[in-house]
Amino acid sequence: MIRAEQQHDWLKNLLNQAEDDSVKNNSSWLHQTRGDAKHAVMNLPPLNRKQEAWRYNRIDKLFKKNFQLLADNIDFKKPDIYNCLLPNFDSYRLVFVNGCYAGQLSDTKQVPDKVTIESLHNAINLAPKQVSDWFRHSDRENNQLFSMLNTALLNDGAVIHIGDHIELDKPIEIIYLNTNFLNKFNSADNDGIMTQIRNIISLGVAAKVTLIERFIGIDKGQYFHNNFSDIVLAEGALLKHYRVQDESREAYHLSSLQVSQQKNSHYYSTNLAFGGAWSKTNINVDFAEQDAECILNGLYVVGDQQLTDFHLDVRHSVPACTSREQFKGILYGKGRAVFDGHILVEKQAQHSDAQLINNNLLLTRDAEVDTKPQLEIYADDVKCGHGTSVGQIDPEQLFYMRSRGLSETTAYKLLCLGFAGEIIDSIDEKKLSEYVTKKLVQTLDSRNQDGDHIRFLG
Amino acid sequence: MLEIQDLHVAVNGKAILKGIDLKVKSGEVHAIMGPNGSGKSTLAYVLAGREDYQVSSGKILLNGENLLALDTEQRAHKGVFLAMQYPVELPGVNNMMFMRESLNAMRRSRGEEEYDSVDFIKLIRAKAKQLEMDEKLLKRNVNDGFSGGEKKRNEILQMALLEPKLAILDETDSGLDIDALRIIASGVNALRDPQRSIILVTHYQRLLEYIQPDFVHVLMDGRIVRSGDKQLAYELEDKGYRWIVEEIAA
Repeated sequence: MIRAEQQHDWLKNLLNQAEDDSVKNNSSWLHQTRGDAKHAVMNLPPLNRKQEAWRYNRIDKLFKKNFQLLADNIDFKKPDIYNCLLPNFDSYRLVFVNGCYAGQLSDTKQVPDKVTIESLHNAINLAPKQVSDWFRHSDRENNQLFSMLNTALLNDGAVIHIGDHIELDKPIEIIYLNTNFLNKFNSADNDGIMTQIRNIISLGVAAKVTLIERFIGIDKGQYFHNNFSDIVLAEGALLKHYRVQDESREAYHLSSLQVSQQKNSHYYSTNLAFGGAWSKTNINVDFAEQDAECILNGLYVVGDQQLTDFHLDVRHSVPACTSREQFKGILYGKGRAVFDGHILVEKQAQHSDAQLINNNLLLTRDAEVDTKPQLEIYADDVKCGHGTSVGQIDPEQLFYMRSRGLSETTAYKLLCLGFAGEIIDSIDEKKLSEYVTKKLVQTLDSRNQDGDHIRFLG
Repeated sequence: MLEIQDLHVAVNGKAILKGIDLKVKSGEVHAIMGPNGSGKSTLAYVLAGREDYQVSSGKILLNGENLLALDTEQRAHKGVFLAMQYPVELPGVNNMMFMRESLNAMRRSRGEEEYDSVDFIKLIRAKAKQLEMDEKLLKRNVNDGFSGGEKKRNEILQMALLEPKLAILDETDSGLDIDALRIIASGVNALRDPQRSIILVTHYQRLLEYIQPDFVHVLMDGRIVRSGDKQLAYELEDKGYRWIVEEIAA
């Protein structure tokens, strides 16, 4: 692990850069909050491998990178966003390019009453008091290095609020386009830009909405996207949350989600990870009241020069809540993945129902996964279970498929798609699941380019 | 026409087939019978091209072409089809999509036009109907959670779809009740064709009452020890395999 002094210098360098741009912030409380976070960051203990979260995930490389903050909203050439949109997909859309809100690419026309879908800075201008309350709330448990950095170096983010009893007519989509401006930001002493996005999402009583987040690396190159979302679901609310991480293969990506659920609320999420040289997603779910339910699904596809890490933490601190976690991994080349699923059932959380499953398919000998399910149970009347597997393609299945005339490549691909199907099917938006399937096929094809295509039944 | 010449095969270093000679002409149905462990399934697998079986010597020619030089899928493209004793489950792989991929792979190899999904659905529905197969099975994943009989029926459906030149049915009758056996047998009989060779690998004579073979061969300890017409099967049913062992010894 990298030395503490080096980490310190790395942080110092970033925070020094941030000194220059703090003036452009017109809101005093935000200025203050960021200032506090800057101080706090420097006082955190350094990361090391003895800390469970970093045991299998080496971040030395990250601390050797010279990231630059985007000091100003540079007027870059408008990226061709239309290549990035799902075809014929209607949504309320927020687009961020390198962490800056791109209003001209967004679409928040006709947002109904009692619904807020805005960039953070716009929201601050529109409702300073409300947003500062939400922001402070989102920062309440912030004691992790990268989430604190997120506050300290904040660029922008999304503020989404759905009023009581509102069922939104179409999904909300947040698209993060990341680009290195044709290597402008990659040079000998500069390894691309680092962006911080903060999302504040709250659903009122019995509100229902689908939220799609897509992280897209438009071109090749390095950058570091550091994303933090605070999600609060009021009583009876339902959030379907789909996240597709498709960063560039050279990118660093960190997502932290903090979910708090009131009585009888439902959080259904599906997380797909395709890109990134290094990517880590932390999902923390807290059941604040009884009868809440969360379903966390995920699929990671990891190849050469990639490390993908999912870290789940579900806390049953009240009775009668249900949690389901199912994550699958497809690894090839020298791909590396870490899956750490922690479920805590506290003593008073009787009648908790928790299940954790992690299955991994290793297509090559050199691929590696560290999977760590942890059930920590202090209540005695609960239903909890976990299962993990790490396997390879069954030669019997390959033979069977080849004996029906399919090439080995096609057979592999169909088996991988079959393996991933369960996760992709948990996406309730047909256009998105089609896109994800296509993405998976492309990824598997790029693994083995022999021009062998498969077509699907419509 | 299939021609097997002095075929020797080992599995994990152990000799299983010890010199098989067999000629199956187009239009003929041959039954290969024999006790457990005699090498029947090995023969079936070797014809289909299983890579973990080592052919130490001998030849397999299909219409004059050396099958042993071809990969599993290339043999399939040449018209070799193996209906397996234990059809493999493919979780997450849709049955209908799998069969369309399969048929189109064959057609591509022959330079023929591929089926689009609409035409394919019509085709497969008609074939399934002939086999009195529940259409729901088409929409499920390949053999996943199918009963023994459903799996066998699915194999014959694939055979009917792919229209092979050489069909090898490995213990297709095992685990079937009498109704299922009758339906599957009529499915196979419908595929009897002057251009097609069929090899039935079976333990019991029962299947042969429904699918009448032109020739019957008895395989014991890796060799064909006796060949005859369907009468041979009745004799075996009467006297058991011991009878041949004793005759050979005598």
